[in-house]
Amino acid sequence: MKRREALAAMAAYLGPLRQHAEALYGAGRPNIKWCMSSFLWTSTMWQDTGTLPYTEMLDVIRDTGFDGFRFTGWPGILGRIGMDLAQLEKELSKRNLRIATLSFNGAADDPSKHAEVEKSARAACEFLKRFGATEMVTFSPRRVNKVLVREHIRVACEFYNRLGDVCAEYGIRTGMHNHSQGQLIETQDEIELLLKLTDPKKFHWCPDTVHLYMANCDIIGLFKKYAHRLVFFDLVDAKYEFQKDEMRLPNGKVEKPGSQNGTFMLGNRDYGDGEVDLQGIMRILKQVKYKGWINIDHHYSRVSPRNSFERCMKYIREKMDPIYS
Amino acid sequence: MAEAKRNIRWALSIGIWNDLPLAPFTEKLDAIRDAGFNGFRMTSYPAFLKQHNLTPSLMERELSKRDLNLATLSFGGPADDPAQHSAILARAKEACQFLKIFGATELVVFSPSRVNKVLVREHLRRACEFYNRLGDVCAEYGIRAGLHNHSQGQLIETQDEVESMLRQTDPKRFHWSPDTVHLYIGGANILQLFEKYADRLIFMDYIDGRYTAATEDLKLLSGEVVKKEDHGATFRLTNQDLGDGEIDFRDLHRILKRRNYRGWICVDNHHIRVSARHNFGRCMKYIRETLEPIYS
Repeated sequence: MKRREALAAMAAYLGPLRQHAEALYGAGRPNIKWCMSSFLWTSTMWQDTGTLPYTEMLDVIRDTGFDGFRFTGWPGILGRIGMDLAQLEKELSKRNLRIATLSFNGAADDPSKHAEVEKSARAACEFLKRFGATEMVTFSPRRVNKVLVREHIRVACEFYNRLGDVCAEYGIRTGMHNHSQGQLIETQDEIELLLKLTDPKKFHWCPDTVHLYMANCDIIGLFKKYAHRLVFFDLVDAKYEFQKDEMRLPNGKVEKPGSQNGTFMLGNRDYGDGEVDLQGIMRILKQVKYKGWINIDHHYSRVSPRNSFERCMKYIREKMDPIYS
Repeated sequence: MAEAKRNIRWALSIGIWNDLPLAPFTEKLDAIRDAGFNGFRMTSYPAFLKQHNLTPSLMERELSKRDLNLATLSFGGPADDPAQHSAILARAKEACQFLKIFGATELVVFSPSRVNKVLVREHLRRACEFYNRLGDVCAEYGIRAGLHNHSQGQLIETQDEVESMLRQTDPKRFHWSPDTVHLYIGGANILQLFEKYADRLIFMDYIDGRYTAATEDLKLLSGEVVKKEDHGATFRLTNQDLGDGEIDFRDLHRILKRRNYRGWICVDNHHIRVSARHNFGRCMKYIRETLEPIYS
């Protein structure tokens, strides 16, 4: 076989494969990359000790058509994933997956901890840079009495501007992830205060819709007002359901009736099953020409992660991609 | 303006004396009268009566001497816990009977202890079901009950929680008794809330606010020291005499005028910087010079 014939044969062979890959990995999406969070596995599927079946999770991410995942549990979990970073790179590469970001936190409201948090941020940025990620998702410190929230946010925001500068040295942008289960930035007024007190050039916004929903925020209003601050975000559908019965998770953990964590988990829904205006958000993203990751930070799967993410990806392809992709 | 023609009557919260040197009840009443107020809100009922060796008839006599009224009392309970509902209703009946003796027609209801934000919605749902019942019980005594928001660890703290409570309670049965400094600290849009829900108002606390984080321990006039890390220090420092803070009372008063509000406004000042007489006097000066020309 001549070289030209061999190349033609190879192209004919690779064509369908490429189409298959495009269908799987959403290569047709010029603006949005979709990821999920490994938190679903670390919090509900896997036990707290021992080596984790990390590649099984990577297979689910690939098979359900996602482009990557948010690395949670950094850095402690690195010792439990059963491979070193070079091997992790190989496993990701094999599946054409990316580490989209990682979850980062620290006591930003405590000046005596700032040097330590900054050091940790540098290590996180080096990790992200190795994997080609360009965003770091920052969680806020532990919640304080509402009277003290304003002062703690002021102190934290001064630090967040510095943190943004530190991340920028590595080519990383960082932004705030709101949280409804006991963190400083929880309600609409707190999110807006944070966005007001941080420099838009230095520190950004990485909201989470299920936490916004739990905190009764005007989600569409916030996205309309602050879409220009978005660098990454968690798009999770939600419908409030108070936990009446005991919940037994696949990792053996038990949530007693009426627990905040059980109620929070039940509030998480596969796309289209909840009350968050997902399509409205996609229209806003289209208006501001958002380019970047969207993360499905699903905190609870009723059947299995594979089932939930297949359902979510079906919704993405049928309802979201036609709006903006 | 003749008292009878007034739409607004002004009260003080007697709870502020918790931060002041011990004083007999009559001395407190004198300070309230001398500053030009029409009455007071009783806090810590029924313990207050015992603390001051008061009987209702003795209290009536002292109020009458000074032409003062009992405006309302502060009432609370775990409304989000169905197991406690009958006990709360029994206490509410007793409180209403007490208020009725003094001709008061409103009961200010504080919400239960705060829970994690994820659980707030469910606890609010339960509490609101109960608040409608509570409203019915109070109505048997000719009393209207309404919710007082609070920013220091109670269930109804933020704007979404205030609005959720107002949506889930029946406007005919349960009302609204907001507190401006707690709304301010709760990050609420106070004018927007008043504009939207003025028809639910039956009583309110006007207190000015200017956020001031405590940087050192706060020594109260009573001698007690509040640690700077304690939210009570920052909360107290944030309280300001009317006109010294960031709350737009002129516009709030314009809303009350448009809606023909008739009833009490309580100056629930939580921090006295100089003395009760001095700070109450300053608030009354602001009322007379700035608020009464708008609506009185």
